[in-house]
Amino acid sequence: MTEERTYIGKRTPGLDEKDKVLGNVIYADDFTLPGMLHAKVFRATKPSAIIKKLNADRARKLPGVACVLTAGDVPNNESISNVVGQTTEVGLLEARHQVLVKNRVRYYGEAIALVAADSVAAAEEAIELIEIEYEEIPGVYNPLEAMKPESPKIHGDNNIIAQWKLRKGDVKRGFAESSVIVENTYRTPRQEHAHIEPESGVSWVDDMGVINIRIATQVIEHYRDVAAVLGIPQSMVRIKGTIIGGGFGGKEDVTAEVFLGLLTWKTRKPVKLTFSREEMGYGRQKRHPYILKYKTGASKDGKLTAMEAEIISDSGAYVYLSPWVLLYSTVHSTGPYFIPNVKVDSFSVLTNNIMTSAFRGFGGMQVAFAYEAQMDEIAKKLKMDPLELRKKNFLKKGSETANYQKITSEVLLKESVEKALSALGEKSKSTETKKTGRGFACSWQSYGRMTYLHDTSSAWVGLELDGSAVVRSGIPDLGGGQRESLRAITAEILGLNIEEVHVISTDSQVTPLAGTVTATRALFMSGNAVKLASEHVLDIITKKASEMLNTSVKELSLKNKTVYTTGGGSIPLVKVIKQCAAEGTMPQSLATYKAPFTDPVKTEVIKDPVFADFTFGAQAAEVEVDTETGIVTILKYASAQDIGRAINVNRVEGQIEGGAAQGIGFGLMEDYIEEKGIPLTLNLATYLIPTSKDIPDIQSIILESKSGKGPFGAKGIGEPAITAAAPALISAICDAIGVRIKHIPATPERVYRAVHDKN
Amino acid sequence: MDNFKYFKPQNFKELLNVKYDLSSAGFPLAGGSNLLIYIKEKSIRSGTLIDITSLKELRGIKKTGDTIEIGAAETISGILESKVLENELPFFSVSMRDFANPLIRNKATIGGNMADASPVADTAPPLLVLDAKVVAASKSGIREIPANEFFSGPGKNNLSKDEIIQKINIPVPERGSGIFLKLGQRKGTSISVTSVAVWIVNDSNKITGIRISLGGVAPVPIRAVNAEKAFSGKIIDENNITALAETLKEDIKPISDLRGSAEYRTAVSINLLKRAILTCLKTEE
Repeated sequence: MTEERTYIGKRTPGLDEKDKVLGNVIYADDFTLPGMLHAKVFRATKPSAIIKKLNADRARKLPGVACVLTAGDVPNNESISNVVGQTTEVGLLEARHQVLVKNRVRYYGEAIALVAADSVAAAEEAIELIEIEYEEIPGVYNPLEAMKPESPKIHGDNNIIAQWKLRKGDVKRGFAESSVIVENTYRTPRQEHAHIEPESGVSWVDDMGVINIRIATQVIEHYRDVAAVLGIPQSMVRIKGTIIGGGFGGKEDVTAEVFLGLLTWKTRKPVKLTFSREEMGYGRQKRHPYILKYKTGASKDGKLTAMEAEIISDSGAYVYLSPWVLLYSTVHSTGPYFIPNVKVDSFSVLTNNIMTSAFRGFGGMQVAFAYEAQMDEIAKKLKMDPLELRKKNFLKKGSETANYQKITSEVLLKESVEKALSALGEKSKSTETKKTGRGFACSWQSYGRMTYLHDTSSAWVGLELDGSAVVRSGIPDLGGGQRESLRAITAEILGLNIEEVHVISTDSQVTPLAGTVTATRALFMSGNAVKLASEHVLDIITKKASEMLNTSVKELSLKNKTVYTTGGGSIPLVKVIKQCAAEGTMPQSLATYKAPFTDPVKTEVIKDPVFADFTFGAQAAEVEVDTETGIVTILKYASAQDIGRAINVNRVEGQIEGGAAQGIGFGLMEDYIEEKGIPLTLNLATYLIPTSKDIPDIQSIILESKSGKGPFGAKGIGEPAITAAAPALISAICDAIGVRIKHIPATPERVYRAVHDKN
Repeated sequence: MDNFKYFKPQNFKELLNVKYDLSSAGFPLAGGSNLLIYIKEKSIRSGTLIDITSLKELRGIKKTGDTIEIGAAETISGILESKVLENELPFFSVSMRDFANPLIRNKATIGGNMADASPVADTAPPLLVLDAKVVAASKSGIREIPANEFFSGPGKNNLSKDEIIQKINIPVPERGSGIFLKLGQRKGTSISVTSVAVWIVNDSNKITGIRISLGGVAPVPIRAVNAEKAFSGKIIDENNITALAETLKEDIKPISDLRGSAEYRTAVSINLLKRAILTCLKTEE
């Protein structure tokens, strides 16, 4: 069925694009209030130590300093939460966190004290006046070491903080039936989010005594964390989000909101806190580095027979979202392939390294690097075309995954690969020292949160008397155009001009809570909620109009701010709205969308559906490798993703391009390096991300199966866009030089060594 | 920043006087692309920033006789846009194309890049193979320091405490051709892992004159005298170039750091040198 749509599937104009280009957006740090204090965080300079002495007297006495807070000043400094699905097989069943270090420092950069002063300079000076003495204690910096019983313990008596298992069929039998078996160990880097905008916010107490925090965040629901730390009712904390200058999961965990809440609560004054670039390094979570041991078997005709894997993630010094990231990895570890026999054991391990948590891809990327490399290596052994091999094994609609979950949407992987490869065109020629090569990779990535979390999203839609509409949704706009999509959905359903729909978002006391802008869930969840609310408003209007026109609701449609009957009659929308208002039946609706719910995960063996659905896609690259230097130049690049249904084509392309660029960084250069817990890459001169000169034109190819669970059949694209980038590049490099890089990033030096160790 | 003062001398004489008075507590400020970072990192905690950007004695790119003079406060962008260089010595301006990025090229100056004395300063290898002179000025007069003798260690130069760089003098070579190859870890805004500049004079395929300079393989940018000796007077072909380039090992002492291991730096320096020489010889043909 083809439906005529006005906005859905089109290139709808942006709300903020022009202002962003012109620098007119008021970001979190651009905001100030009269009498505002400036905050700084005093952080540990040891990765593993006991604080023997901490003296802030001199800092407190410095003119201009309003307060210095240490752990003792925090009403509820420590928090403990359960780690889901874990049994006594691992030591810790709890995740422990603290706001400020009480006595033991577990990583370099951990927050110890907070300062608020009347100028940035005074706050910085006060930080320097805080006296501290440490007693260093043995730390552990390698997750493999940390897993050993004799290693120093970070919390409790076991460093393994989560493990998950997949058990399907019988891998022994599966390998026995294999004619080829490929075994490899892969390593992935500790990637930094490196968003342009630092973590930043301003807090104040309003005339009702509510603590207000205006902050760049992906999760306005952190007002609950602030309330918990302060020991005050959740209703007395408000988080108002801002337009975000990049997040990528880096603004998913609490950033500055608890610090701001504490300082404003203590001083009763407005406070601003903005992290420095270096602090964004040592003070913030990263992507988990992984070690992935894979063994994959296939029959002579290219059918996968068995897969066994051990996956280890470095959680750093605190738990944060590590168990959930690891669960994602575990479920996605097979790749988008049907494998009859699967055994996967995965572990997340505490160390004294920088903590790790959410990052676009959320555990899906590391395993994609491994499962796609395995597919290429099997194809090579079987002397089979890598796409032919994959075609024999792709999941299909109705297939069952290794966690016994049925795929409910279309799987357009074959089409994705073919389109991406053909977009590369003619292959460029090699010279003696510049070898060209080509590769591709497939990915699957869930969208929406884990279904046992019973995720919901609420939204309110209402019509004004003049026929314009207001949408209220708590969802933050992460820069992906979340507000634009909601606007397009309401305009489409209510037959309005898109400029007449206003979206109010990201304010915990003004907008209905919509949940986080994470997990590729914003459009899926809030899009559905806004669609539900808009449809309800449409019902109210058509019901009233049917009375006014003396016809049945079925014969009515709403377009161009007019209600039409099939028989040619009509009535202006504003007349209907006025009638509704006169009768007290306001054309407004508060709706809640519920994701598919499942029972909580009970054990480490994942044997039930965990996700609502998946996005499938492929990326392809052509590279040139300079064999005399190891420099890789990307000549051509294409990414094809089945996003179900594009709501706004511009923004889908933005995600596909941005995901590829960030994935290219992960594959080729990004690595937050620590030496025994001491960070070495604290600024953007040493922590390298791709520049515009490193990223080629990315050809975005949108496939629309209309089979997703989002509005109009949409799937999610934020995370899926990044997942296959690194394995596609590594595959292309392998095609060029004949050696597979198993430890990314594939820096020039690693590529050079690969070329020359071969010879 | 309270510990810092700002001073803008009105003329060249005042600059030399104030530099004499302040000695090592006076920091010439041109683009600030290094200096402001040192202040932010607190490796410099106090002093006077002497704004030298508008003094005409430190500006301009001109040819006087057989010498091209580049004012110390000329920006890298200015060098890239200079018609004098484009006509008289395109090698040098072409060499600056991969210097940092457009934003930094608009601020950073040739004098600042040399004075900063980074082992990977991208102005250094091209200036060393051109036998350029650093013109140092102080109250007591001016002196010329050969570029090759200007550096004394990482971040250290041979200027006296009362001296500033006034300009860089480059003798325009009568013959030959040059190339600068820079190896970074990425394509934009990259800091060199290693860099190689060569200047070659070639008579019917025989190298009659050669100067080789490298960055990133020793405490300071260096001239590779052993390699120069090895290549001099040779007719180069695919068969002998590798062995000749290997002599570079006697010239370099690379370290391992975040940007690369000593082993990698050695290997790619040799490869870049081969590539540089072959490219130059092709251009000369």
